[in-house]
Amino acid sequence: MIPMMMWEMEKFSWLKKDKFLDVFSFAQCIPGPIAFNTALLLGKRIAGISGAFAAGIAVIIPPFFAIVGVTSIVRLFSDNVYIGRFLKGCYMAIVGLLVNILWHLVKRQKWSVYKTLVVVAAAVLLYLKGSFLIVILISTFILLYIKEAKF
Amino acid sequence: MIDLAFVFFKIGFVALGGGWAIVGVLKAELVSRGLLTPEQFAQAVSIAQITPGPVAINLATYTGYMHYGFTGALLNTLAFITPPILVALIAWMISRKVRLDKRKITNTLRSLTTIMITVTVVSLFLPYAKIAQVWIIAGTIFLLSAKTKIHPIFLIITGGFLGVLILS
Repeated sequence: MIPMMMWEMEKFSWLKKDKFLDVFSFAQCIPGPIAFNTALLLGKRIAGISGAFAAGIAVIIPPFFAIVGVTSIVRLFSDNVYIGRFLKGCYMAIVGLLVNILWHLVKRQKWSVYKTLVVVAAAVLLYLKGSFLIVILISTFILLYIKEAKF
Repeated sequence: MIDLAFVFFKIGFVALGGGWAIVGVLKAELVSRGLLTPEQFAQAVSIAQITPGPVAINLATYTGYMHYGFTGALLNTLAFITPPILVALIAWMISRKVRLDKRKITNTLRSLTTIMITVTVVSLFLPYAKIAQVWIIAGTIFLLSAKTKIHPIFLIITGGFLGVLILS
């Protein structure tokens, strides 16, 4: 989705490629789906707050109706064994894809002993105690940010 | 209905590193509150991914729609996108006054994303780890995605057909 946005931005000469990449990296720094954030920030950049709202709403309308449509159809066949297996197969494929993403993410970073420990500990805690989600994430952020400062 | 929307609102704040990162914690929240069974969650994930649009928003819309119809879908979607809007507004306001080191933040966030995607992978896969066919599908798709440039959506559909063939 992101490459397509970049292409459209250049086509309408709203934003140059390097400016787009600035916006994109900011979009990754705020929580929420990256495609949505990027749309929001691009809207703001080009047409101010009202642009942000217009772009934000526009980017969620098509998927919203797609989901409502697909769900209505799947519901009709929810007892069908083959549909069930197909979806389960998709689910497992997604796991495979995620492992690949994770692998690249791990490879791209530098791993000090400290960082590895913090990351592993946080992942274990988060898995076992999901309800402390926000506490765990904020403390992990602080722990990692402090150390990052020394490089 | 409000409970469900609130879960998405809360998760919205920590949805760093894109949609996939939060699927793991989202599963924990929804299943432990009895809002979805693990089986229903697995189905929701598949549908959210094969439908166009960001996966996390799709998941929010889907669960809302499944439980409370159109209103639920709308409420959930809005609950989920409000946090990024708020954070973006705050970020715009403080970015004029405070200068944080961008590179450091990016690196730190990348580590957080690593943590969350790990949790996602583990919590999605572990319940099915005893089934041999599941390893075959996930493994095949992993290899294909690592070694070829086939678009993910085709890989997911391939996984679906593999499922029809070998799952029981």
